[in-house]
Parts: sequence; C-alpha cells; structure tokens
Amino acid sequence: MENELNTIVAPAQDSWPLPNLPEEIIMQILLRLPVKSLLKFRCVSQSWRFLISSYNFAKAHIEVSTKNSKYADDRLIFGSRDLPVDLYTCSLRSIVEDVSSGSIYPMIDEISTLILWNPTTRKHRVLPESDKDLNLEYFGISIGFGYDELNDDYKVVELLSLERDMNVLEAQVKVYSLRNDSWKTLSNWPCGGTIDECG
Amino acid sequence: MARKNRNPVGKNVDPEAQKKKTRTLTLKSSDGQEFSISESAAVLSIAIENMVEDDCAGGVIPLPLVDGGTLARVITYLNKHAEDGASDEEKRKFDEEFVSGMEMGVLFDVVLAANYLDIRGLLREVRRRIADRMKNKSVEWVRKTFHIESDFTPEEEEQMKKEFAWAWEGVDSDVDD
Repeated sequence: MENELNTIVAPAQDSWPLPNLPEEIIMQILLRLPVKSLLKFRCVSQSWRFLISSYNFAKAHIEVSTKNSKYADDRLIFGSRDLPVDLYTCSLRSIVEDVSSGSIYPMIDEISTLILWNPTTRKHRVLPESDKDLNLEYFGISIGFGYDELNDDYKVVELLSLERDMNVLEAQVKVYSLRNDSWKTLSNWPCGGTIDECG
Repeated sequence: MARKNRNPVGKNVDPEAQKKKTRTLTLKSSDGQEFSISESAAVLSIAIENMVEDDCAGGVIPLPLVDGGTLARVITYLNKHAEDGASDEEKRKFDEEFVSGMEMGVLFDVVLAANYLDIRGLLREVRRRIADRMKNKSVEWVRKTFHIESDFTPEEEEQMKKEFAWAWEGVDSDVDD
C-alpha cells in the first residue's frame, strides 16, 4: 500500500515496518483498550506489563472508560441479606454485561459469606467474617458497598440492627476496607431508627 | 475556531474571524509539497496557531515532520472541521468515516502528525481507532506492530497466559484488516 508512508521515524516503502510511536502516544492508545485486551498485552514485554499493572495506569484507565461508559454512575450498590439479592443502583444484568468499568461488586451468598467480585478481571475475594456477637439476635443486616475517594479504597458497610433488653433497638455499623482487608466497628452510632432506609 | 460560532450571522461579525477565513496559509511537507489552507482551518492545529501568532509564519509554514500524503489527509480533516454550518453530528460522522478506511500504517502516520501539530480532536479519534483495531489482535501482532521484542522467558509467558486464559479467547488473525 502507501508509498507515501515515508515518515521521518522509520522510512519505509511498504506498510511494514510501521513508524515508531513515542511512549506517551502508546500509553494513550492503551488507555482506550478494554481490560481483556490489557490482560493479554501484559505479555508483550516487561515494560508493557509494568505500565499496564501500574497503579497510575489503572486509575487513568478507569477515568477514561467511565467517561465513555453509560454505567458511569454505577458506583454504589446496596442490598440486604434478608431479602433476595437486590441491588440498589443497577440491575444484576448490567453488572454482568459491564466489563469496562473496572469496578468491583459485592456478592452475597446464602450462608452469609461476603464476596467481592471484580467482573472485569474475573477475580474475587472472600471477605473475612466481621466479628458479630453470636449471643445477640440480629434481625436486620444490610450491606452497602462503595468507593472511598478520599482514601482510594473500596469499602463494604454492614449495618446490623439488633434487639437488646426486649424492645430497645440498637444499630451497629461495621466497615470493611479492601485496602486493609479488615473490619472496623464504628463506635457511638446513634441508636435505633430506620436502618432499612439507609442508602 | 470558537470565535466564529459566537457570531453566527448578522452585523456583529468578528472582523478578525472573517479575515482568518479569507486569508490563506501555505503548509510545506517534509517532502516539499505545498498545500494552501485557510487560516481558520489551519489554526485548529494549536501548533500552527502558535506559529501564526508568533508571526513566524511569513507565508509558508514548513512542517518537516509530516510527509505530503499525511499532510493532505490532515488538511482534509481541518477543512471539514472549519467548515461553516457543519453540524456536530455531521462532523462526528465525518470523523468516523475519515479513520475507518485507514490502514494501520496510515493511522500511525496520522497519529504522529496530529500529536506534532497538536490537533486534539483528530488525535483522540485516531487513538481510539488504533485501540479498536488492536484490541482483538495477538500478542505477536502487537510486538511486530510496535517494534517490541519479548523479554519474557517462554515459561514466564506461559504462566501469565494461564493466569488470565480467558483473555486469550477470540483473538483475530494477524492479517491487518
């Protein structure tokens, strides 16, 4: 093809070899690839693997893809263990189909194990049990999940409502940090109230 | 540029914008070809705009990093985007068709030119097109296209492939489309 393809970088008569692209342009192109391709192209070379696996690249990639994605707002999902898995901000279908956003989603199975699942890389993590007092009767457990921009961390929030001393309603809030892989109990949570409406 | 949009029709036509439309510049490619282009189209390239503003244009603007074939393509793009009355939808369609027929070598030339001339819209379009073309290609195709030699041992490569085997599903043939 192109006899006019004689660029300064790599003069060529034929279509091959193509001119060399500067690193900055290559990175900008890679940022526009779906994750599936990026996982494959980590194998191209050490430097590509280093670039693609780097934290800054991942952040920039999410920025680029959320700009183009119609699921850009699907950041927070809310469900309850007592109800059929019910996701607050989007349908399960859209999660399964959305392989571009790089987000992580919580899954809740029947035996109360929490699993975080990243549909983009198809990796998952089983969360450790939050330390619940088994002597207490929990009658409402709600789970929230979100991205903590301030700390650049994904967090799971567990809202437990329990009955103590007959009719006194009490709420407990536990927060799991993906970064630390551990639970923290928030103290001094105001008592009682409408936990079901917490979003 | 934006200036002409602010003065659609009527009395308040910006005289400077009018002048840009009628004034022509000459762009000279690396292989000595000369192209005439209206100033209003040329300054969609930030690099050219800077040269014109610094008044170092002096009639002919040499572009030693862009060959004639590529420059002709870039000028087609600039003319369309400077066209009066071309709607955003029309431009979007033009952009899509503009890059869709280009072979990989041409895309590389145009991305280099758009980068050098600082034409943001064109750069964005071509980058996206290249990404789209390579996303289902094999690792070997990418190495050849980007002049990269593998520095992994076959064992390392096999290990990485195993980790995300599903990412290798549906790889296209290496023949450029």
